[in-house]
Amino acid sequence: MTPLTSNRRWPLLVFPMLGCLLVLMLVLFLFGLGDVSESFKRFTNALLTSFSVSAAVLAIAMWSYADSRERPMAPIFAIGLMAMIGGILTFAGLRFAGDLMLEANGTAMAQILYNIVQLLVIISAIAIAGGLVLGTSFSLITARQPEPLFNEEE
Amino acid sequence: MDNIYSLSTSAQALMEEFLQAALLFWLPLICLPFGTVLALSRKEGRRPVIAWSVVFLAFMMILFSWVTVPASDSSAGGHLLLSVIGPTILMGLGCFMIIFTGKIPVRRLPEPARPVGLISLILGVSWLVMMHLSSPPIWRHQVNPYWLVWWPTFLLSVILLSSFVIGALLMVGENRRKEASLMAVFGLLFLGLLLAVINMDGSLTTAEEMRSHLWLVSADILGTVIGILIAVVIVAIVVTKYEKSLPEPNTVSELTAEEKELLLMHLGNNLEGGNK
Repeated sequence: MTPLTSNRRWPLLVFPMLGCLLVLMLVLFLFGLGDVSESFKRFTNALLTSFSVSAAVLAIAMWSYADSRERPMAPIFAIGLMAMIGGILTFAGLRFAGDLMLEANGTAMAQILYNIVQLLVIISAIAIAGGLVLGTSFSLITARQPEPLFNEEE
Repeated sequence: MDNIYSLSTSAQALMEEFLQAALLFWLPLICLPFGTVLALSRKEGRRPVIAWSVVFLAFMMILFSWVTVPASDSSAGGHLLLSVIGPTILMGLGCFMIIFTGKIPVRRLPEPARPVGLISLILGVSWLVMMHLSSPPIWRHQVNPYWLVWWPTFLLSVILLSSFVIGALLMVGENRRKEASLMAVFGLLFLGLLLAVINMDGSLTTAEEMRSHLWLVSADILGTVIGILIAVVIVAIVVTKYEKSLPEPNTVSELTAEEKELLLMHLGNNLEGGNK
C-alpha cells in the first residue's frame, strides 16, 4: 500500500481546489458574473466574524486543555484576547471604515448580529453537506466485502 | 408632554424586544458552544448529562425563536434551521441505515433496512429540491433571506467535499477506485442540481437571484474558511509556545531491589508463564 506520506499521492489534495475552480469557471462561462457588487463586503464580514467567533469558541475549549495542565491562564487569556481583537476590528471596520456595511443593516451592531446568524447558517449548511458526503462515502465503502489483511499461506 | 410620553413608551417597547431577543435567541446561541465544550471536557459525573441537556434546550429555543421572538430579525436563522431539519434527519437516517446494513464487523441492521435507507436518503435530497422549486421557507410573508444563503452553500459544499473525499479515497485507500468513481458520480449529480438551480426559476425565487447568491455565497465560504483557519493557527501557535515554556519533567530515581522484586511478583501473578 502506498503510505499517506508518499509524495506520489500528495497532488490528489488539490482535488477540492480544482473542483471549486472548475465549478465557478463553469458557472462563469455559462451564465456570466451577475450582480456581485457586495462580494468583497460579504467576504470581509465573513472573515472577521468567523475569526472572532471561532477564536471565542476555541478560548472556551481551552478550559478542557487547562484541565490537564494545572489551569494555566496564559493561553486562555491569549486566545480570549485574539477573539476580543477580532471583535473590536469588526466593530471598528463597520463603524468607521463605512463601506463594509450591507445595505439591509443600518447600524454596526445590526450588521454584527446579522453576520453571526449568517455564520450559523453557513456552518450548518457545510456541516450537513459534510455529513451527507461522509455518510455516502461510508455507505459505498461498506457495500463491498472488506479484503483480507493477510493472504492465506498456500 | 404627549411626545415625551410616547417616546418613553416606544423606548420601553424597544428595550423589551431587545431583552426578549437576548434571552430567547442570543443566550441559547451562546450556550450551544459553551455547553458542548463543557459536555466534552469531562466524561464522569453529572456534568456531561447537564451540559448536553442545556445544549438540547438551547438548540430547541433557537429553532423556535421565530415563534418566541418574532420581532427579532435574527429569528429568521432559527426558522431556516427548523425548515431544513426534516430533510436533514431523513438524510442522516438514510446514511445510518445504509452504512449499518453493509459489510461491517459489528452487528448489522436487518437487510430490508438498506432499501429503506436509500429511499430515505433520496427523499431527504428531493425534499430540499422541492423546497427550492415550489415551497421555500416563508418568513414574514417572504422567502426567508437565509434560505438564499443556505441552499447554494449546501450545494457548493457537497460538490467541494465530494471532490475532497475522492482525493482522500485515492490517496489513503487501497484499491478504492470504484468507490472514488461512484463518489465522482455523486458529486456530478449535485453539480447538475446546482446548474439546474441557477438556471431554472423556482415558484418564489428566480434563476438570476440564485446566480447572484452563488457568487456571494462563494465569498462567504471563502471568508469563513480563512477566518476559522487563522483562528486555529493562532491557537496552535499559542499552545505550542506555552508547551515549550513548560519546564522539563523531573527524572525519577532508579528502582530499588525491593521495588524490582515487587514488580516481578506482580508480573508473575498476572502474566501467563510469568512465574517460570
